[in-house]
Amino acid sequence: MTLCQLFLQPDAAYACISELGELGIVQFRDLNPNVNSFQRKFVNEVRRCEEMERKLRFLETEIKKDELPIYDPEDNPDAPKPREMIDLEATFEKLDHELKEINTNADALLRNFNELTELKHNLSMTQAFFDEAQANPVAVLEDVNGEREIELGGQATTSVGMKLGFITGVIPRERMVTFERMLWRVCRGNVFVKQADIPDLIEDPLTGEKVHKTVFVVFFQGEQLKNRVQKICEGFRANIYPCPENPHERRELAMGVMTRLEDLTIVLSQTQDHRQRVLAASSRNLRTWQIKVKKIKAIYHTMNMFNNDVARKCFIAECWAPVTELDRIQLALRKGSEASGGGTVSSVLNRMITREQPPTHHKLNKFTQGFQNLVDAYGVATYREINPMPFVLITFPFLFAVMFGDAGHGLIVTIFALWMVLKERSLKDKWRTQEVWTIFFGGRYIILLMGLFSIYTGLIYNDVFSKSINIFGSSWRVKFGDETLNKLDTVILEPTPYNYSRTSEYRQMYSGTPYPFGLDPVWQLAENKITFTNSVKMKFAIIIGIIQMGFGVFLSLWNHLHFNHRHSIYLEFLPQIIFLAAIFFYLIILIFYKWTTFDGSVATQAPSLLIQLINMILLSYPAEPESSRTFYSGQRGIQTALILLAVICIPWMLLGKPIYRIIMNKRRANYSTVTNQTENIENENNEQIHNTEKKRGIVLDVDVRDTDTDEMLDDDHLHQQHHQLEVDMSEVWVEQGIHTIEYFLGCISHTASYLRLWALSLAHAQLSEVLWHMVLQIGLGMNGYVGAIASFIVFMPWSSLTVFILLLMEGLSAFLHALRLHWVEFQSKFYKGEGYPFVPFSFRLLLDETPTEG
Amino acid sequence: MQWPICGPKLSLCCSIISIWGIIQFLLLGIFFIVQAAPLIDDFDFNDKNATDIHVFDEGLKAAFHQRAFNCWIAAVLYVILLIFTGMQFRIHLKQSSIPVPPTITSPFAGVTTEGNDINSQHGIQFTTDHSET
Repeated sequence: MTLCQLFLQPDAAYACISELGELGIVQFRDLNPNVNSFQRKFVNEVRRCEEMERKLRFLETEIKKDELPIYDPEDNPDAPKPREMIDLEATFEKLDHELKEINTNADALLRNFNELTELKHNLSMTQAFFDEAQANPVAVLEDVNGEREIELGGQATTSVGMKLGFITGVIPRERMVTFERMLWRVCRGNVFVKQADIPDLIEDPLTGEKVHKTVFVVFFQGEQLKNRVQKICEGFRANIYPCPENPHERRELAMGVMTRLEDLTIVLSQTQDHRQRVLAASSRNLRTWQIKVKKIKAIYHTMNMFNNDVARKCFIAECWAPVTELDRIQLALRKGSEASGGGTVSSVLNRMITREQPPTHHKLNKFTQGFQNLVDAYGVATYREINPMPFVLITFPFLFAVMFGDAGHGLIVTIFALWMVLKERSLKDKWRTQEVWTIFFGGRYIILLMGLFSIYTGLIYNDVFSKSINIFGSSWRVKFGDETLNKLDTVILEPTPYNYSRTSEYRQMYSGTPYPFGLDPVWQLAENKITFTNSVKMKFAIIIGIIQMGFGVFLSLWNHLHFNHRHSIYLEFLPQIIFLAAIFFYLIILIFYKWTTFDGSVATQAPSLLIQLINMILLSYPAEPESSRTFYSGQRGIQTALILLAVICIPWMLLGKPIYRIIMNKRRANYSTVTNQTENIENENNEQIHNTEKKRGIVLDVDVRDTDTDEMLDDDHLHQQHHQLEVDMSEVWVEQGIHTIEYFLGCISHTASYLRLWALSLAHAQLSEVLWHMVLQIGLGMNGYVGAIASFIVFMPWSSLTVFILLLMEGLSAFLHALRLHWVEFQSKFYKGEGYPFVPFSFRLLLDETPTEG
Repeated sequence: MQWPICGPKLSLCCSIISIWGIIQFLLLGIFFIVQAAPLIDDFDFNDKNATDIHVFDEGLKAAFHQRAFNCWIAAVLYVILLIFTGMQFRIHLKQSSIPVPPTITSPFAGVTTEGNDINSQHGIQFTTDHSET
């Protein structure tokens, strides 16, 4: 990783950046952090892009409203040239305008159409009503509380000189009742309301919902009542339609309405067709346009970060780039310059030297990405620090599998992961918005490895859905006589590989050659299975844990060598590894020693490892209980020496580094007092020369290679570096003290912490055994053919419980514990994780992340 | 079988369980017929306390064989379930893969006047479809 400076011609800058964006291996630094984002150079262009994006979004919502398919382009369009941007803008403007016009037209037409349909219904209803009234005037009169003399002569006028007026209109059905009551109250019962429901649904122009509506006719007498009725109608937002009094005119109006309606339907369908055509045409290009606009925006956004040198007419950019990729960057720059047609002065790329910490960049593929995410979740590696990912790749699934050891469960996990891996392409874009699914899919390779390792450990534990399989033939034989068997419920098999001669009936029970692979299946039937497996699994957990911690300490050696911290090797790595070896590696040796030397015949007198360890630290060697006797002669001397060695390590690590610092500081102080006087004079001269340039924070010489790059840094950076040199000594002491305590106490607590490997595997084995016994055994245990039906039914809950409890819940807990073992127990030995990630300017990343937002 | 009885998710879930069930019960049946010792915990049988070794053996063998046949019957039942749910699933797959014209898929988007009837009918179909799933 190196810091580079780019000098770009203003004409060529755009093309160069677009090439770099396609390449995606450069991270640009913001050179004007103090400039408000509204005052930057290309803010206008960015704003234009945003305007275009807004229009495209509008277009997309319109397309989605019509449920037209949006075509995803196969190829990745290049970022368009700046000239093309104007064309795009014009196209979008035109489309936007057209669409808006169509929409307003369609809206107006629709409103018109609705009104006309209402009018049509209105007319037909009133017509029917009047017809009825004409045919049977008495009934109507009875309706209107008898006393009033109202005659509804054909034209709705009175013949007795009393002129009855009427208003017709349409109102939503649910308002009708209140409307009627209101009319009755306000007009004191002097109006007559007649209503009829419209059978069809009518669209509400505001909300677009379809509602039931009712036609009403209000009869009244006199102007005042008319005003009142009109006001109430307005209040209830009823649509009032004029209705001629003459039946002839009414018929004519109805005819006119019908013809206009027909015309309108044609016009409406044509508008709709036109809209469809416009949208269909744009839906084909929509994604391409979106990508193009996004690229333009990204380019201008990047160019905003550049330093603009007016005097020399060029842009200056600073960026982080991997050293190995410099050639490709140069090539891209040349391509960009050629593409822009300038060609007179090509872009220049310079490497800069800086004391600032570069971003951390790991080369990853889709397989390692998931594991790197696990590591990065703890902390991004400090620059050039050893990356634990390649080791986590193997140890993580392994530790998971130790806790999840069941071949049957492992098989299901593997099949699930295999399905995700093999169908990767088609599954990639599916369910992108579902978070749980994306988590599973992102970790598909981790899950695959976890499943495979679980099958392996399951075979070692000889557990397949909590049942053992006897592949090679057990190495135990039961050869008891009838007499013994009749007397006892359980018998004890003796583990001695030779004839056991306490009673004559005991013959050889253990063949002497162990079961070739994993646990002997005979333990499945043993009563003391858990006692046996606990002892084995606990010891394995300790061995695995200590080996992993030791490995972590060795990785810290790698770090010290790389950063050239020679003193750290002697003052940190050595005491750490000696402490670990003196106590814990020794414990592993004792475990193996106990396994190999004590067999069945002397098993009862074997010393206990735990008590041995406690005695070793307490320096007491009692002879009384058999379990605390020593393993071998001379154990006392060796153990005392080891303890002494371990104790020496503590002050060694605690004091070593601070003392080294003090000595180094003194030496440096001596050196600087001698040289300072001569150097100061030179420095002053230099400063005067560079003073003017320094204030601008940048050196304008094109041949920067020779100049001192420190001067190119901002003042802030310089201040920081000064502080770093003069660290307070008390801080060093405190830090080293914490570090020491953390390590030595950590060694002990972490070793105990690895026992979770045993605890979780025990829990998993027991849970799956309980599930089998409580659920599946109901079906298998039944006599007769009912058992078949019972098995059939019982299998469903068993399988779903297996998936949800044993695979998902237990799997999650094993996953989290494995993660903890790596983050805390393993990585704390060597990994700082104080870096920050390398985020390249890449179109591919930009385009990838957007769909998840939407 | 025209109408789908179970929804797409239920039928997929049942198919997966039945595939698992078929494999597991076939294997279990084989293990029972060879009288695998680890499975002896799972059942009781009549002649368990018989003192005569032959009677005991016969009883054990009969019990083991009974379980084996039961397992195979269960496997056959799962084959039937698989056929049923598989068919259901394929019906759903076919239904979802038929390209439906946009006017029918959107009961509320159409502005056409005549479309009302079709839309409302389809709306009803749509809702019943959901209630069954």
